Amino acid sequence: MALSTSDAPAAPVLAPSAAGVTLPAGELKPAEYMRLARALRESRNPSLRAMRVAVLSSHTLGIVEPFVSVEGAREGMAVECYFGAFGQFEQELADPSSGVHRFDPTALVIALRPEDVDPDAVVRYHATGGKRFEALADELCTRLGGCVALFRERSSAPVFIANFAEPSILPLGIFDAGTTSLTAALARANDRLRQIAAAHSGVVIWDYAGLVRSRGSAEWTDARLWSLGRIAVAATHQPALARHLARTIASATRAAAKCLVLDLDNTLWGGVIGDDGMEGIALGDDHPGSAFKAFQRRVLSLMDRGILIALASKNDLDVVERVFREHPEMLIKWEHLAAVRINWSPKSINLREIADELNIGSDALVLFDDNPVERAEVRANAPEVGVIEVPADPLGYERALADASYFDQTSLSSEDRARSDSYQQERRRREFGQRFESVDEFLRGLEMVVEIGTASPSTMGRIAQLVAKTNQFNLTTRRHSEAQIAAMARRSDGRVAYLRLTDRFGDQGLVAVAILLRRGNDAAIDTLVMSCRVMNRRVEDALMAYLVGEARAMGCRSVVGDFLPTKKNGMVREFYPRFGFTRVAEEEGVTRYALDLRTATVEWPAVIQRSGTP
Amino acid sequence: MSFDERLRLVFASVLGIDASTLTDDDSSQTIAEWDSLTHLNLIFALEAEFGVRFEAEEIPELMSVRAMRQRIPREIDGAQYV
Repeated sequence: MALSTSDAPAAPVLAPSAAGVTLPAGELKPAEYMRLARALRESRNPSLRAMRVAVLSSHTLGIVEPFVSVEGAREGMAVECYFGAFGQFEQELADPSSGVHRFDPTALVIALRPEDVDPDAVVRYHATGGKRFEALADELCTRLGGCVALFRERSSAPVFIANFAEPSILPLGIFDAGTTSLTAALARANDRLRQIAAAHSGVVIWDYAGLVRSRGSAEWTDARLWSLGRIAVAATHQPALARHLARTIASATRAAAKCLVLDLDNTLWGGVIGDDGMEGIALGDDHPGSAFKAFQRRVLSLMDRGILIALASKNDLDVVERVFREHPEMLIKWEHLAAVRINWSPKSINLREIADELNIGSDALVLFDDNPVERAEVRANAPEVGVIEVPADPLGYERALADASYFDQTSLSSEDRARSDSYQQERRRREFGQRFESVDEFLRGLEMVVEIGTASPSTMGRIAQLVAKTNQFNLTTRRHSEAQIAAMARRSDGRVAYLRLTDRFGDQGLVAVAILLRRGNDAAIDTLVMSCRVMNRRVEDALMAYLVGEARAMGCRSVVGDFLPTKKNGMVREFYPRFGFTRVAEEEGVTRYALDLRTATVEWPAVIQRSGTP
Repeated sequence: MSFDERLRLVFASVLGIDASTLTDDDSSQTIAEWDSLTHLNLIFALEAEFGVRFEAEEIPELMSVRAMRQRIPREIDGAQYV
């Protein structure tokens, strides 16, 4: 899901230092958080994305505000918080003049703990054989669903619902793991929360339970803070909570990075291949090679999520390729790599080349390199690239990769999972293309079939994702949230259309989205985005032919489209003129084009077949 | 840094005041920023800075610089800091 902020950055800003506030890496003392939070508030750093976060909770969370400010800034956001009085959910959300609505949040967090609402249902779980807790879970789920609906009447901002964490003391003590346990009942309640999130657009589960589990439930609450001010989070865990929340909100409102670029020596294996040779490098099941093997497995788990894997290393290509092909302990294979730069050029140059080759922005790259000098070179010469701070001990590599927020995805679509396959298909397509004399002959040979349809619940997630993430083939770069897109799809005078492409090499998935809205006698193209990997295949011609047909069916006299230039969408500057649109206005950098339907049309491209819509 | 400097730095960071203006007579009565939530931030910032631990019943009592200055060294290595 995405949010309607301006051009969302692909990578978090880990150490913004504009306007005089430098955020040190690593752990900070509480007093330093307070000082930095104040400095951030006063500096109003314009390079940070403004976020107004409203928090409604059943326990006091206001105390974490300075921590959220600092951790938000580490994720590239200038966070302003509003905390509702604890326990006031429906009142705040129903009343249009309430604090939360006056605050006009860009994100809403609802953190409800069952034990705050009915302590007996939790602590004395077995007094009713769990029935009272089940009733409470029912009530809470209904209330949360109702809260989302109330909020949606006035706002399409994303909503984050905290799931239910295990309390520090469990009713069955150390045996609270069986079928009749509170632990099992909490897991069932969290399943229901997932369903509520899935049923509403723009609702994300904030994994509060996972946070408490990873930090340890026993010390999560400090009895002093609880008794003094109904504060459920111990001071020692407040920075971690703020970091977790900031990461969650940031990731839901920006595009995730797309490619992990890896160094080789002392990153994927121990030692230097050029000096130590195939037999000399450390990689396998025993220490120290085990740390590298474990790291490789972790890298592949990112590939499973659709993140591309690339290499940038100062080495000899033949030697390196042989390790990937022949070393029995290598988990990452040569075929897994989307791009390879093995040479003696500076890393920053190699990284930009990799971005070009993969047709993604270099700000969608993240470097993992054990060498601090290389990291510094990239930070200096390609500052848009994400750079992970790598610990000296390889045993810490897995954790460093997991703790970096660059690849955080709120949800995983089937397109994400298939992406690395599709890059392999793309290599085969390129080889296929070399056999043809003319472009048209090649395109016919691809046997392309497109399906065009209007948004449905099953396609909405991917549609919203494309709208949120597409930077280059994007005419207007309007970052509509999933909720906003759903609202447009419901309009009778609008169309949210998607295009799915299949060819002889496989299914390319849902690769383009267009939003057409009626404005008087015009059909206005509000949004038109397409994945760059299907460029130059006349797919956009098919989409335009469809839109023109729809505009005609709506009884419109012309189709109107805007081009809003950004740093990245130069490739579509001449998009509308190509289809015979004429320039009708230019205002504040926005160029408006129109196609008069009485005199002009756009033909369906002969090299593409259209399949029936399901 | 001396005990006094560290103490002043925590107060200045949490309350957003000039460390040099702070006196032992300052309290939640004299410093507007020192409200009940900030008081808790102050308490836990001091715990983290000096490795001390305050009991629940004394937290609401430590409402002045003097009270905290007298309280903290009892737990840390007094000879070194006072």
